[in-house]
Amino acid sequence: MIVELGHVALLIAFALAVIQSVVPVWGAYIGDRKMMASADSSAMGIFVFTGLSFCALMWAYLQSDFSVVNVWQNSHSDMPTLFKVTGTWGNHEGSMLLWVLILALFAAAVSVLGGNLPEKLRANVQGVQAWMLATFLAFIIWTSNPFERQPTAIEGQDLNPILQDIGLAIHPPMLYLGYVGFSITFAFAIAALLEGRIDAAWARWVRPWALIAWVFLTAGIAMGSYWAYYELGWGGWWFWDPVENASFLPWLSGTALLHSALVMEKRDALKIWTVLLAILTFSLSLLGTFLVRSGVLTSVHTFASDPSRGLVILAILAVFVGGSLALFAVRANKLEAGGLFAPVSREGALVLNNILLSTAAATVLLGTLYPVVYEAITGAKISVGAPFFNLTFIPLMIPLILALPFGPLLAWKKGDILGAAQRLVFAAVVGILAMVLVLGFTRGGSILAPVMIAIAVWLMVGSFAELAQRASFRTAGWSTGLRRLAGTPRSVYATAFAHFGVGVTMLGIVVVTAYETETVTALKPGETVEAGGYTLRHDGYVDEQGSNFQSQGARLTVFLDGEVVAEAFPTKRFYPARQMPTSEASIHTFGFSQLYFALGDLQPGGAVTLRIWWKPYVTLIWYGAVIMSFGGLLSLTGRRKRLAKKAAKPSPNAVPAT
Amino acid sequence: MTFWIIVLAMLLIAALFVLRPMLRAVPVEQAEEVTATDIYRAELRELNDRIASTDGDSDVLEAERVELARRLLAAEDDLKNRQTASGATRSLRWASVASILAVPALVLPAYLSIGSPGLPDAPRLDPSSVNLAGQSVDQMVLIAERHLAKNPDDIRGWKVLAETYGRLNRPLGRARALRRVAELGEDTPFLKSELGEALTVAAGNIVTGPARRLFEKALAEEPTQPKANLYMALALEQDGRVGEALTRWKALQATRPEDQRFQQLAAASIARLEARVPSKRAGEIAALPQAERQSMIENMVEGLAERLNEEPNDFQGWVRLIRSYNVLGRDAEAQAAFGKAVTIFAEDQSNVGNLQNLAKSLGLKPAEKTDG
Repeated sequence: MIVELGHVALLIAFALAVIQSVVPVWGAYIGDRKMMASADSSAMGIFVFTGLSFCALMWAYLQSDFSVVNVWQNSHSDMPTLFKVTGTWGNHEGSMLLWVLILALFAAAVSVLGGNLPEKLRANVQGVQAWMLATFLAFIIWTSNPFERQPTAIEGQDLNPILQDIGLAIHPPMLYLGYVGFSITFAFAIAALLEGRIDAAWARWVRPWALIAWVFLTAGIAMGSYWAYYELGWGGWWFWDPVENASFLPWLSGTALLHSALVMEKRDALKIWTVLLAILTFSLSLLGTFLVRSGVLTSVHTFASDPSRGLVILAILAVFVGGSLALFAVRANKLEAGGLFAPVSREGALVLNNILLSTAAATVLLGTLYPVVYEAITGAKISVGAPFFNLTFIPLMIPLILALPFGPLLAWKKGDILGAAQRLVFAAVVGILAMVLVLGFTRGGSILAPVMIAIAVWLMVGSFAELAQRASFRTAGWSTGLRRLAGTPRSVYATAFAHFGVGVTMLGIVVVTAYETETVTALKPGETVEAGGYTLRHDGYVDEQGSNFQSQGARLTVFLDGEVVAEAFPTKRFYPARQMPTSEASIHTFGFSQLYFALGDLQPGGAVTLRIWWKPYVTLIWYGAVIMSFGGLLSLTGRRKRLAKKAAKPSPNAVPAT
Repeated sequence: MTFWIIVLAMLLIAALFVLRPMLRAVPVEQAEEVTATDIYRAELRELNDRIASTDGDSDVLEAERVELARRLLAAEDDLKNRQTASGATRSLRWASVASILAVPALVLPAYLSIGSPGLPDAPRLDPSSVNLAGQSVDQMVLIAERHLAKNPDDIRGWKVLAETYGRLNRPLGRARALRRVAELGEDTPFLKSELGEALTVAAGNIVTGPARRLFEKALAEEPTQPKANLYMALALEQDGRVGEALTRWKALQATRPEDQRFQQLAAASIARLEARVPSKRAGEIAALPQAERQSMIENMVEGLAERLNEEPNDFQGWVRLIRSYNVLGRDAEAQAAFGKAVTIFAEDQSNVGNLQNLAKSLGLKPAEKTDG
C-alpha cells in the first residue's frame, strides 16, 4: 500500500504544482494579495508530497519490493543496506525524482526564507518555480514513473556495480543541490523580466541563492571527480567527459553570475548581463540533465538512458531556454542600465572575470556539443578529448588567474592598478621563489610546469593581499593589525579563501600532471618492485566473498627506506547478477600525495599486472575545492549577519532574514 | 477501503495547502520587505562611518556618498510609484473553487489510468517461504544457490542442485556442486563417475585428463561401476585405440543383461566401432610398440603446434592442441597454448568463452579477462 500511496503523493504534488503555476502569477497580475500568498503554502505542500513519494520509493528499495519495476531493475536483496538506500537515486527514474525533490526543496526554502521579498516578486518567483516543477513532475509521471508495478519477482537485477559506492551516496544529491539551486536564480530572473523592474535589492536576494547553489555545485563536482578517480581505477581525476563538462558549464557561468551579481548589488551596474547569466546558468544545468538522461552522449554516467525520453527532455529544454531567452529579448530593454565605471576598477576586474569565464564556458560547451552536432550532420562519430580542452580552456584560465589577485585590491568605480601591483610584489616574489625551488629540485621536464607552479603560488599568496593590506602589520604593529583583521567584514575573508582555493586546486593539477609517475609491472607473490620511490612486496592473493560479489585481491606491503609505511590491498570484484567486473583501487595518502594501486590481469604463472601511480600533491585538487566551498559558506554567513544587523526596526512578526 | 480513505485524506490535506492562505479571513500581513532603499541607506551609513574615521581617500568617499544619495532618492521615488497590492478580489473566489476541484480532478483520473490501486506491497520474503509453483527454473536455481551459500554444509541441497544443473545442461555448475558433495565426505565411486561425466560433458563430450583420472579411481574402488566403465571405453575410443575400446564394450555388454538402455547403447557403440575399420595409419600407430607410438603421437602434436604458429587463426586446431598436450600430461605447454589462444581470439567473446570452459574442464588456470 505504501508504494501506491507514494504514487498518489507524486500525482498530488503534480496537481499542486499545476495550481501554483497559475494562481500566484495571476494574483500578482491583478494584485490579489491572498492569491499571491497561496504560493508559499502550496510550495510547502509540493515539497511535502514529493518528499512522501520519495520516501515511499526508498521504502520499496529497503524492503526489496520487486513488484516495483524500478526496484527490480536496480536492486538486489543481497546488497548492503546503504546501497539499497542510495540505489533509490542510482537510476534514471529515482534520480529524476530526487532532482524534482530538490527543486521542491528550494521552492519551499523561498517560502520560508523569502519573507523580506516584495510579495509580487515572490509570487512570480514561486510561479516560475512551479512551471518547472509541474513540467518535470509530468515528465516523471508519464515517461519515467518509478512506481510502475509488475508481478513480483524473486530477485532483482542488481545496481550497476560501479554505482555501489559511498561516493554515489553523496555525489548526486550534492550536484543536484547545485544544479537545481540555480533554478531559483533563474526564477528570479524570469520574475524580474515579467515585472519589468530590477534593482540592487534584487541582486541582494539573488546572491545568497546563487552562493548556496555554487557551494554545493563546487563540492558536488569535486566529489564526482574523486569518485571517478578511485572507482574507475584509471587514476585520472578529470576526463573532460561530456557529463563532467555538463556539471562544469553551470559552474563556470554560475561563478560569473556570483561576481556580476556583486557588481549589481554594489554598483547598480551590469543588470541586464546578470539577468542573462542567471538564465544561461540554469539553462546549462538543464542541458546537463538532457545530456545525461538522453543518451545522445555516451559516458560513464549514462546509466539507464533512453532516447525517447531524451526527446521529451529536449522539448522541455527548448521551451524553457527558448522561452526565457525570448522573454529576455523582449523585456531586457525595459530594465534600466546602471552606473558607470572606469575600465581599471573593481567593476572592470569583475567584467574581465565575466568575459573570461563565459568564454571558457562557451569553449567547453563547443567541445561538448560539437561531436553531437557533427554526428547529426555527417553521421560520423568523432570525439573531442582532452587535447582540445587543454589547448582552449587553459589559455583562458591563465590570464584569469594572473589577474585574479588584482581584483579585490582595486577600488570600486576607479582603481589604482599601480598601487595594487605594489601590494602584490610579495606574492610575485614568493611565486618566483617557488619556481626556482622547483627548478632546483627537479631534473629535466618542461619549463612550463615550474612557471605554472609559480602562477598557482602567486594566486595563493596574492589572495591574502587584501587582508594583509587591511592589517598592515608592518606599519600598525601586531595588536592593531589583529584588531583590524577581527573587524574586517567576513566577505573579505570569503573572497580570500575562495580565491586561495582556486590556487590550491591549480597547484595540485599542475604538480600531479607534471610529476606523477606510473609503473606497470607483473608481480608474483614474494617479489618486490620499486615504484614512485617506494618498495612494494607482493604478499599473496586473498579471495573474499562479499554480500553480492566475489573479490580477488593482492596484499602488498609498502616500504620506504626499509620501514613498512602502508599495507595496500587492491582488488578486482565480480558481480554475478550483472556479470560485471569492477576494479577497486587501493589508495594511500602521504601528506598531500598519494600512492595509487590498481590490480590488472592475472598472468599465467601466478604473476599479476599491477599499475602503480605516484601522484604528488594530487589531493590538493580536491582540498582546493573544499576551500572554495568554505569561502562560499563564509560569504553566506557573513551576509546573514549584516542583514540581521540592518533589520533593526522591531516588528512583532518579523520573518527571519535571509 | 483503507487505501481509499488514506488517499481521500491526502487529497484533503493537499487542498488545504492551497486554500488555507486564500480562505483566511484576515488579510495577509505584508511581511517586512527589504527594498533597494534599505540597502542604499545601509551603505550610506557604512560610508558615513568610514568618512568619520577617515579611512581612505576622503575625496573619493565624498564622491561616492553623493552618488549613493542620488541612487537612494531614485529608489525612493520608484518605491512610491509602485502600485500596492490590494486585498481580496473577485478572482480569488474563482481561484479557490478551481483549486479545490483541480486537485482531485488531476489526481484521480491520472492515478486510475496509470496506477495499480490497492495493489499491496510485496517486500521480498525469505526464499524458503516463497511458493515455488510458477517460478521459473532460473529463479529456483537462484534460490537454491543463495540457500547453499548460507548453508554450505547441506549435502542434500548440493545433490539437488547438481541434478538441476545436469538437467539444465550446465555441466560446470553440476561439477561444482558435485565437488562440494565430495568435499562434504560422500566421495563414493558413483560420485566420482558423476563428476567425471560432468567434466566430460563440459569439455564437449571429450574425456579429458582429470575426468579420466576420476573414472580410473572410481573403477579402482568399484570395478563394476557402470558409468565409469562406459566413459573409460569412450576414452579409449577417443584415444584412437579402437580395438581396445571394442574389447571393452564387448566385455561390458555381458555385465548388465537386464538393463535395456545400457544394452542398446552398448550395441550401438560396438556397431560403430566395428564399422570404424582402423585407418591404415591409425592401425599402424596402434600396432607400433608403446614407446614408438608415443613418439609418433608427439611428433604429430609438434607438427600441429608449428602449423598453428604459422596460421594461428584455426580455432579448432588450438582446441585440439590444448587437448593433446593435456592428454600427454604436458600441462605447462597446455597452459601456454591456452594463453596464446586466448590472446589470438581475444576479440571473439564466444571463442574466448569456449576456451575458458575447455580450460576449466582440463584443470588449467583461467586467463584473466582483459577489461577496458
